[in-house]
Amino acid sequence: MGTSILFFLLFALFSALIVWYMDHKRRRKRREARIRSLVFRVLEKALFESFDEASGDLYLSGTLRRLASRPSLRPLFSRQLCQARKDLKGEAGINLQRLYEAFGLDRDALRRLNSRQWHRRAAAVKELYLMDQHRYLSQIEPLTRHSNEYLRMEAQTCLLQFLGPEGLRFLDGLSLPVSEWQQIQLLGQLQEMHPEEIPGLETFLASPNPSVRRFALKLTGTFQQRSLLNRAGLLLRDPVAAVQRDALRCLRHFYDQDVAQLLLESYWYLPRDARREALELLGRMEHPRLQDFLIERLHDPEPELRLEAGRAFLRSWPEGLEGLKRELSEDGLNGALLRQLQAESAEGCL
Amino acid sequence: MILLQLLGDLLTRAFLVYTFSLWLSNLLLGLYSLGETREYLRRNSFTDYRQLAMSEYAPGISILAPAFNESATIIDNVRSLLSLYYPNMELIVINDGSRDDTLQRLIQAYDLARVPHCVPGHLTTKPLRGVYRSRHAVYGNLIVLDKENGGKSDALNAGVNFSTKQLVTCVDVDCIMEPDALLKMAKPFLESQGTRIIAVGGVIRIANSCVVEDGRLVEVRLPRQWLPRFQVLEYIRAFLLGRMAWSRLGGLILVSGAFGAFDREILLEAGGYDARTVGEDMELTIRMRRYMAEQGRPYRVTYIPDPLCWTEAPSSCRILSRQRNRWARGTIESLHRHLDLLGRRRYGIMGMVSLPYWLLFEFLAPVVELAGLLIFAGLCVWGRADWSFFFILLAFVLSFAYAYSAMSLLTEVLTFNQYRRKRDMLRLLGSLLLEPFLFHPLTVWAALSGHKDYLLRRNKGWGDMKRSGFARTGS
Repeated sequence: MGTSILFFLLFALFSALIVWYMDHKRRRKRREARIRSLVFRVLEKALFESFDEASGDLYLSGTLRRLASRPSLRPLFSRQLCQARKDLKGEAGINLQRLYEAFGLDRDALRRLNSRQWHRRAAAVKELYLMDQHRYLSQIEPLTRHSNEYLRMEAQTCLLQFLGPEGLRFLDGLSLPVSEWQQIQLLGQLQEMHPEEIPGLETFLASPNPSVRRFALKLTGTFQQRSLLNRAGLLLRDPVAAVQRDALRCLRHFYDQDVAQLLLESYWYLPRDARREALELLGRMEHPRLQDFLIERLHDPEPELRLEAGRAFLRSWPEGLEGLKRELSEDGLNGALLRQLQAESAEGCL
Repeated sequence: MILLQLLGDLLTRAFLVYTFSLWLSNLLLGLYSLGETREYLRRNSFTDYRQLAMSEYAPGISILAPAFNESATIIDNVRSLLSLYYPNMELIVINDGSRDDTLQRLIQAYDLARVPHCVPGHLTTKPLRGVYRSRHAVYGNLIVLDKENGGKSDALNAGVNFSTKQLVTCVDVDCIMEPDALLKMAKPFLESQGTRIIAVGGVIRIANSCVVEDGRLVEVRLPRQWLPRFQVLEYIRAFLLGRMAWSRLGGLILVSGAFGAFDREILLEAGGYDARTVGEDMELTIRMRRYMAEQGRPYRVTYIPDPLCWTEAPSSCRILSRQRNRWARGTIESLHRHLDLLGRRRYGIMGMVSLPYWLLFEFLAPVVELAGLLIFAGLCVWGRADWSFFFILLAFVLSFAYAYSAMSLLTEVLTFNQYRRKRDMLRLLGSLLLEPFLFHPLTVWAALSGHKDYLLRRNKGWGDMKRSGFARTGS
């Protein structure tokens, strides 16, 4: 009976907590909205008027000062400023940054940087890079090799934000993996910077860490680092299949005979699923040896590869249908493949 | 007489032990999931999906949407799926031999033309009657397959054969998806390091009475009818507490057929969907896990607790019974087919924990419940019922059920909080009090009829799922 009473009490407690929390949330939202409007007023001024160094506290009204000094509200100020900073560049953005410093919020972030909880540290790193607090670089850089993935990712993003492509130096000798998710994030960040050259890229392509090699391949392709084409092509023979696939995707960014040569040389090293992609790519290129190579591939044991080889063949030699008929018999699966290729060719959907 | 008394005592004790272990395991799972949900929310606060939405490196996703007699809603549903934010996706709608004008409506609405097809065919399916693509470039990623009727699994297999992307997402065509659902589904696949993610499950929520506009859910409302409202409670408990815990444990064996993503390569290597079962989602998840374990390859089946997919729950007892009957048959079929994994260390948590749990507490629970009721009825007739014990047990059962459900609601409020109005939450708390008396007996009865149908080898297939449609703005 005692246990039942305990459970009934728990039920009552949970129900009360639900009701209390919903009320609390509503109240908190209302309070946040009030503060947000105050912060917005300051932000508006920061946006439209330049910030005067001499009277740095010009816009800090008494109410705002009082509110900003309350420890419970300071995180809200940080959040609001960071949110606005994401959308603002130029003078207005710099003014926000000064406001952030004037409130001493950078010192709060620094304190959180030493917290034992990873999410508080990661949030602090994010805040500091959003607010361009370069002076804390030395405290943040070691975190690019932290064992916690999320903290590490924020620190890596921060380094790139502060230093541009130079910030990729964290990849040097990195033994921890860089997830594909993080690679996409970093790549997107770099694309906004439009770099012409990426320092250290050749070293990254030779890294013993497969995830670094994969990222380097993405960089090579996306930023068209032509000088590294052969180096990237070598990775078609990498022992890690994922690296090979990324090497293939990298080569997609360079359409020429050199790429066709690399693909023809390394075709047999590729995993089976990547061969289909290689054939598709070859169909868009020119090379003296290509026709013979594709004809050989028409006899591959895998029907999917035969079909792709046929497509590539017709893409390279639109008048080559007769040649295909000679190679593929007109009955059985090959006959079906042939009819498919004929129809695709007639409808122009190759 | 003494012997009967002894037997009665023994049975009572056995029932008590069973009941306590069921509750204890549920409680532990619930508590275990809380930490994982909290950690997920923390991690998610650092996530920005915009880069993925624009990236050429986003992994390709083929959405497979089987349709059978969906004429009334197919156009809106396809439009909804086509409007999902994702940079690299194709939508494959499989018309599984519909007897209505589903295909004709698709052809008209999306200006489809028949195209030549030659599928090398990894998986065997019922014959294809045609492949259609749109003449409009804007629908360039839409493929419609028309095939002979072969059931949901067969249709999904046809879709897998045609898919060209790295991941396949299987959806019920009548579900409403959140616009960023695919971005969220792709993330776990991209985050994996060393361990291959073979499947990701998403949360399904109840969309009855919610407002839908142009295939998008624009306002979440609590169902007005009792039956769907009880299912809201049930889904919150199952998805927010149950599956999150199983995911954390590494023992998730069910990725819902209404919305789940799979690694296409592994799905094919494992043999695709099994067309002989009605529980194809669970069976496939177990088989893929089994395949990876037998290959000795490190893998994970993971789960994301964000509400990503909204579905219309049955609002009549007849349709609900049919659905639960099918679920029960699907569970038994999957467990039966993979019974040899039970208790085998080679299959890790799946063999040692998940399958025994499902066998004991999912498959057996309705049977034990019925047996308990029958014995109690027998004792009453015999005049041997111990009423004080009965009331103590009843109080215990109810108090636990209430506390557990309230805990799941509290978790919902503290995390995703879909029902923002206090009135809605109070209504849910009210429903929670009635659920054990009105809803639970119905689901137990439906599950038992599923057991019976399975034993009698009655193949009822999927049965008809009549939908009443979503509320629209202005309605």
